[in-house]
Amino acid sequence: MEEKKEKNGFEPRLVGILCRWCSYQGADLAGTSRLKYEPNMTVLRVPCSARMSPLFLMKGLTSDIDGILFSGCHPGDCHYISGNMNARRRFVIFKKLLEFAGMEPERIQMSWCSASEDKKWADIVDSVTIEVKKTGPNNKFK
Amino acid sequence: MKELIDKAKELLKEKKVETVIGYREIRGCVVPAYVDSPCDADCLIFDKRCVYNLANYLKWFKNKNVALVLKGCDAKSINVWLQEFQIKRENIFIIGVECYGVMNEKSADAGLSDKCGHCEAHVPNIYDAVIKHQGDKKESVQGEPFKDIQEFEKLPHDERWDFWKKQFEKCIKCYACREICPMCYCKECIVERNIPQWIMSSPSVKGNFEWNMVRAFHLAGRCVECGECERACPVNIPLMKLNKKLIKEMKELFDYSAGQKEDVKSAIDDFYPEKDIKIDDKMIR
Repeated sequence: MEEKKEKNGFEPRLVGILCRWCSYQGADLAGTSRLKYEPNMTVLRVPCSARMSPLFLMKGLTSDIDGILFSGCHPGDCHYISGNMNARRRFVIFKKLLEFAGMEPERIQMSWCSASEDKKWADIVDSVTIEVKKTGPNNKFK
Repeated sequence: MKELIDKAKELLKEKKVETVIGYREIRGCVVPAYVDSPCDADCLIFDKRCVYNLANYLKWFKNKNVALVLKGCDAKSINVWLQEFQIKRENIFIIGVECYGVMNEKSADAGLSDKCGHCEAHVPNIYDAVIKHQGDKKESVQGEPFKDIQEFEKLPHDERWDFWKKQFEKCIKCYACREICPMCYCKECIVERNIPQWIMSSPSVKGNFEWNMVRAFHLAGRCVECGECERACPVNIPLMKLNKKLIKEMKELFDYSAGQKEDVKSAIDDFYPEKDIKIDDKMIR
């Protein structure tokens, strides 16, 4: 950690909005299997990816969060049958709108990650952190 | 206009409807008019000064029998109301008017409004009676309907942000865009909720950005391009630019345009797993 800080002074604050049935369990598994990944993400658990309201993303970005990762079950695997399908449409449209308004596309990301994909989860968090680091801090509302 | 007046008189005489909502002229200005009795119906007019979307008045006439005078773009909002089970079809009588463009209220040269440039609905797609257009039928300007949006998308994100920051700075949070919008019919709007407060009520950079983004997003797949929000805005924020962007994305991603049919689901409620999977490659890890 400290070595990294010396190289690059900026450590992004990330928020992960994770589905309770898959991505949250996946992150849990990554922890129990002692995988190492970037520690910048604060996790927010939601009962289903369809619980994600665009207001969550909006509030995060206006509260100076540098990046938000939203993650749910793979299409077809939703515990509530079709929640992630609805969430996908909503997320995609809202992301396009924010990009149009001048927000960097790296700040808002979405992934599919199941409960057994601990390695994938670690990779996703690493790559999101690197991308947000490159983009720089979110100073738009300061 | 005899046709329109006769129709209104007929409806009121036969007691099919309680009120006819149309346009009338007072001292050279066109204003919306409620007509309750056949003898008042002579005041009704329709010409290119009739810019208002009268579907908005359904908010106050939800369970009453009313007749509305609607242009092509306005009639599409009736379809969205029906899709969302807000009104009963048998309660309203739609007097559709054939329209070849309304004037631009904000510019001095009084040319056609921006929204009429790429109009595809000269005749309403839902009506009970239609009033024919008199005079010359000028076809609207053809070409790429989303040209300005595509050009704006090509700018780097810093410039886009600066543009919108400048625009949203003007916002005084009067919510005229919400009041005039026929699609914003919620009794309790998200901005009026205090616990938790999602949208800051102060007209600051944060609050204005939050409000304008959320307003635009709530119209995704529902905006019928009547252009009323932009017309009502007292500080001239180009709100239709945001709405048009969403209309474009809805068309490209989900092949959906709002207000075409009354018996389909709105694109944001609906999903097609086989089609939607294409989105994954570009946007989802």
